[in-house]
Amino acid sequence: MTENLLNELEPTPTDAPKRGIGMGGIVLLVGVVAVAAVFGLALIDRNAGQPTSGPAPDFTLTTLDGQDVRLSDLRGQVVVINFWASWCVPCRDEAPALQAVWERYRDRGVVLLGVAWTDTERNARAFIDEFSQNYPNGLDLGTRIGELYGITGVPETFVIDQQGQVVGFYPIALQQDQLAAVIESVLAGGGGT
Amino acid sequence: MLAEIGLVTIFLAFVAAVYATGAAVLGGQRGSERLVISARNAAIAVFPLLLIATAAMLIALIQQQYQLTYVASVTDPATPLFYRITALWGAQKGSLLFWSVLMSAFTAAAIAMNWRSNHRLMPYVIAYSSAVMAFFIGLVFFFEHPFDRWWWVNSPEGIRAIESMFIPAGAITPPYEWLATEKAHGLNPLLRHFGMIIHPPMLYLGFVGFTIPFAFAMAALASGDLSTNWIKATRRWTLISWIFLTLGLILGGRWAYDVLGWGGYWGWDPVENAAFLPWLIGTAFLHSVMMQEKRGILKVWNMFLVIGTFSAVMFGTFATRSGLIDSVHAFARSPVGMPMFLFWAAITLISIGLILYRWNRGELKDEHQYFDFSQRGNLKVLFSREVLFVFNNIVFVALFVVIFWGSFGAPVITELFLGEEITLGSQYFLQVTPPLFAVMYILMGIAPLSAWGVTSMVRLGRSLVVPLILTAVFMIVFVLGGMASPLALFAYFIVSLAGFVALYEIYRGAAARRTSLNEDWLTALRAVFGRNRRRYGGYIVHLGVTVVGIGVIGSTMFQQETTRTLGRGEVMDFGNYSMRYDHFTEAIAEDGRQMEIADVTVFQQGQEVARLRPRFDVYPDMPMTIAGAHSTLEADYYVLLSGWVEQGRLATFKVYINPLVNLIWWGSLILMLGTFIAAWPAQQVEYTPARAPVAARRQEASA
Amino acid sequence: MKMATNQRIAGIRWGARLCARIVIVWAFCIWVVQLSIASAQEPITTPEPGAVVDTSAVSDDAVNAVAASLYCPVCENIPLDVCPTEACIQWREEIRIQLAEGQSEQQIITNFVDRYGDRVVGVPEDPLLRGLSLITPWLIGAVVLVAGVSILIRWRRGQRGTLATTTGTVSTLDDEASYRARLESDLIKRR
Repeated sequence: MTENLLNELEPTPTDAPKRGIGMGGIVLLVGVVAVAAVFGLALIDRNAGQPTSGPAPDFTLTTLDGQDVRLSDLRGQVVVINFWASWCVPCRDEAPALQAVWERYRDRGVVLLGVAWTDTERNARAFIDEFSQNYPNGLDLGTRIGELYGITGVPETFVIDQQGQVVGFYPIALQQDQLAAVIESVLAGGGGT
Repeated sequence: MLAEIGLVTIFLAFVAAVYATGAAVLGGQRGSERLVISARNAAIAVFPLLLIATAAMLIALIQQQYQLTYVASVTDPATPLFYRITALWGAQKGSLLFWSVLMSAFTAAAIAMNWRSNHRLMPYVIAYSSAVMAFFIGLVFFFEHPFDRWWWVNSPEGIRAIESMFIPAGAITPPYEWLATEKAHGLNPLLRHFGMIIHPPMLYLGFVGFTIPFAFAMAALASGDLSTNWIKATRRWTLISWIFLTLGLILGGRWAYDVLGWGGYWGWDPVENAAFLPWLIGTAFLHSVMMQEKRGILKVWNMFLVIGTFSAVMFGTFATRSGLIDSVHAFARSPVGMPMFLFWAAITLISIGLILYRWNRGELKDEHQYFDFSQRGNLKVLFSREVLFVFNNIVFVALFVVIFWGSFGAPVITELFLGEEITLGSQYFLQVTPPLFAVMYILMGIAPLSAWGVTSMVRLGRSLVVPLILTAVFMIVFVLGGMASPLALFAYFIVSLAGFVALYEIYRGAAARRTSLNEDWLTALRAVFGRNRRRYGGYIVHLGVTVVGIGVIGSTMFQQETTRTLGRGEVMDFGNYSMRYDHFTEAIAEDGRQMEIADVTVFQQGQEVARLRPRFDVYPDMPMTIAGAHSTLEADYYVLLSGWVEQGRLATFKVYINPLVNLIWWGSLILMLGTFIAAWPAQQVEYTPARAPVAARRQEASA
Repeated sequence: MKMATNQRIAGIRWGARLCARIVIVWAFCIWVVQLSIASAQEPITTPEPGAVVDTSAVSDDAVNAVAASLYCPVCENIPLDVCPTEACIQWREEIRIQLAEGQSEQQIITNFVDRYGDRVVGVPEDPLLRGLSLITPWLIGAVVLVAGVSILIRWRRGQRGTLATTTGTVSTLDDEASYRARLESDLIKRR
C-alpha cells in the first residue's frame, strides 16, 4: 500500500499514457497475494484441528520423577495420553478412574501418560499425591505437546494403538468402564470406538 | 411455520441478489435499460425479503420456539424478553442474518437515492453491491442456516434427536418440555449488558455501510467514469458508516469497561483491533477525499483507501468469525472461515487489479500537480495543506500497518512458520502507536491553519499564536494541578493545541461574520456552521478527538490500582478517596446466576460521595466481575469485588482510580455531534472541483 | 517501445535489489536485537520444589504488578492480574510463592514463559520473536519515511528541470480560468 503512495507521488509522464504494469503494481500484487496466502495457510492450519486419526505426533515427556518418556519408544504398546490440569474440575472426577485403569492394565501392554497442561509444578504434584497416581506424569513445558495435539481444553484423552496410530480421541472426562472398553477393543485389535 | 417462512424468504433473497448481479452486469454491457431496471428492482427486493426472515426469527425468539436450534442455543425459558430480542445477534448464525438484512437495507437505500443522480454508474453499483449481498446471504443459506430445527426420529436404538433444516422422513416435533430443558441454553452472560445490545448493531451498520462507497468506487473503475461523481455520491454514505463504526467502537469500549472488569476500555485485543483497522483507513479516506474534490488530486490513492476500508472490513469479519484468532470477542470456529477468506482475497485482488488496469491506461491521472514547488522556499510548500494531508494519510496508514502487524501479522506468521504461539499485547501497542498518534495530533493542530498550494510561514505562525497561548495557559493549570511528568505534559500539549486550533478557527469564522455583517454571536455561529457544515463540523470532530485524547492520556498514564482485603466496617484509603466495606449479600438472579454483592461507601474529604455495589456473578461455567464505579469528570473510582471468605467476613477489592476517563465518553459525544453537522445535507450546491480555486483563494485570504 | 521495455526491466531490477536490501537490513536488525536481548537475559534459577514458603509478606499489589505483564495461558488475551477464573487464581498464587522465594519480576516472567510458552507475555521473551515483532513495524515506518522524503526531493529536482523549459504550465493552481477550461475539455472528452 505504501509502495503505491510512493509511486503515485511520481509525476506521470504525459507522453506515455500506457505504461504497462509497473514495478509498483507488480510489487503490490505480489505483496497482496503473499499476505492472502499466509492467512489462507494459517486458516487451513487452524482448521486442521486435532490428530484424531493417523500417526500420533511424537514427543518426549519429562516426568515429574525426572525420567524422559518418548512416545515412539512405546511402540508395540497401547498408549493412553491424558491431558489434565489441577485447576480443572472435571479432571478431579476423572483422576480416580485413570488410576484404576492404570492398575488394571499396566501389565497387559498398556501405558498411561499424564500430561499436565498449563499447570504449575507445585499444584500438579499436589494433585498427583491427592489421587495417589503412580503412572508416568509430567508437565507440558511451553505447552509444546498440547500444541502438537491441538488441545483446546482439559481433560482431553487420546488413545494410540500398538502401531503408533491415534485410534481414539475423547474431549470429555472419561468413566472407568468407558476407557476400559476402549482399551479392551484396541488390545483385541479392533481399534477405538 | 416460521422456519418455513424464513427458509423460503432467505432462499428468494439469495436468488434475487444473484439475479440482480447478473442482470446488472448484462444490462451494463449491452446498454439495456430494461435489464438494469429489473436488476435494480431485484436488488431492492432483497431488503423486504430478508426483513421477513429476520422478523420470523425475532418472533421465534420471543415465542420461545426452541425447536429452532438457534433459538435454543441463545435463549432459555428464564431469559427476559429484552435479551430474547438481542439474542438475534448473540451468536454466529443469527448475527450473519442480521448483518445481511442491514446490508440489504443500506444497498436498497443507496440504489434508490442515487438512481437518477448517478445513472451511468448504476449498473455496476447494483452489480457489486448485489454480489456482496449474495455472498453473505449465501453464507446464511448454505453454511450457517439459522432455521435448522430439532427433530425426533425413530431408530432401532430408540428415539434419536437430529438437527435438520427439512423434516426428515418419519420425524416428529419434539415435545416442548424436552426442548426447553434439554436443549435451551441462555445467552452468553457477558453479552447481557446495555453496551452489548447497541454495540454490535452499530458496528455492523458501520461495517456494512462501507459496502456502498466500495460499490461506487468499483463501479467507477469498471465503467470508466472516473470523474469525481462517485466521490460525491459516496461521501455522505462514508460519513454515515463512519459515524456508526465510531459509535460501535466507543460502545464496545464502554461495554469492556463496565463488564469485563479489568479497569480499562481498550485491551488491544485482536477483535477490537479488527474493528479499529477499517476505521483508520476510513478516516484517512475522509481526509484525502477532500484533496480529490477540491484539487482533483490523489485519485489513485483514494481508490486504494476506499477499497482498503472495505477489504479491512471483510478481513476483520473473516478473522473474527473463522476462528483464525482466539479472543473473548470472537465467534467460535466455524465453517464460514474458508468462504469468507476466499471472498476477502478475491475482492481485494480484483479491486487492486482494476485500479492498476485503469491507472496504466492513464485514466486516473490527476488534474493538478501535487506540490507547487515553483514558489520559492520549501517550507512554504512543506506546510501546504496538500503535503500535510499526505502526511496525515501516511500516519493513518502507518497506524494501520503496525496494528495489523501486531494483531494478525506477527502472531499468524510466527505460528505458521516458527511453530510458536505468541500474543502481542498492550506492551507492544503502547510502544509502537503513541509516536504515531502524537504526529496525528500535531498534524491536527497545524493542518486546519494551512492553505492549499503554499502556506506562508508568517501567516501560519501568526494564526498559531492565540491557540498556543491558550494551550500554554492550559498547561500551566496542569502543572499547578501537580502534574510533573514531562512526557504527559508534552502529550497534553500537542493534544490540546489541536483542540484550541479547532475552537479558534470556529471563533474566527464567527468573528469575521460578526464584524462584517453586524450579526450577533449566535446568528454568526449558526451562519458559519450553515455555510460550511463540513468544515466546521470537522472542527467539532477535531475538538471531540482532542477531548477523547486527553481522557486517554489521563487514564492510561495515571491509572492507579490497588488490591486490599477488608473486614466488615473496615476503611481503606487510596488516592484521595476512602472506602468503607459495609455489607455482603448473596443472591440468586432470576436467570439462575449466583450473585455475590458487596456494599461499599466511598468518601472524599470525610464526605460520603457514593455507595457502590461491586458484584461477582457466577454462571454455571463462567465467572464475571461487575464493577461499581463512582464517576466524576476528574476521575472514576472503580471497584471490583475479586474475592471473599466466609460469607463476606473478609472481602478482597480491586480498586482503580482512572483519571479523566469520563472525558472519553464526553469527547465521543462531541465527536458524534460534529459528524452529524458535517453529514447533514446542505441546502446549497455542493462544492464542485471547478469552484475549488475560488475556495482556495478565499482560504488564502482568510489565513 | 524497446527502450521502454529496457527501462521497465531496469526498473524491476532496481526494485528487486531494493527489496533484497530491505530484507537484509530487516534480518540484520532482528539479529542484532536478538543478540543484545540474549546477552542481557539472566540465567534461570529453578526453585527448590516442595519447600513451603511463607507468603504472608507478599501483598496483592506486588503480585498484581507482576501478573499485569502476563497473560492468562488458557483464556484468550486476558491479563493475568484481572482474570477471574480458578486457574488464574492459582497462577497468581504461584507468583506470590515465587515472590516470597525472593525471585525477581523478570525471573518469574521467564519462568512462566518457559512453562507456558511465549503467548503468556505481551511481547515475546524469545529474542528472535521479540526482534521480529518489534523491529518490523519500525522498519516499515522507516522505509515509508525514507522513500517518501527521497521521492519528494527527487520530484522537486525534476520539477526544477521542467520549470526551466515550461514556465507557466505548472502554476495553473490559482488560474481559475485555465483550470475551468481544462475541466470543461475533460468533460467533453468523456462524453
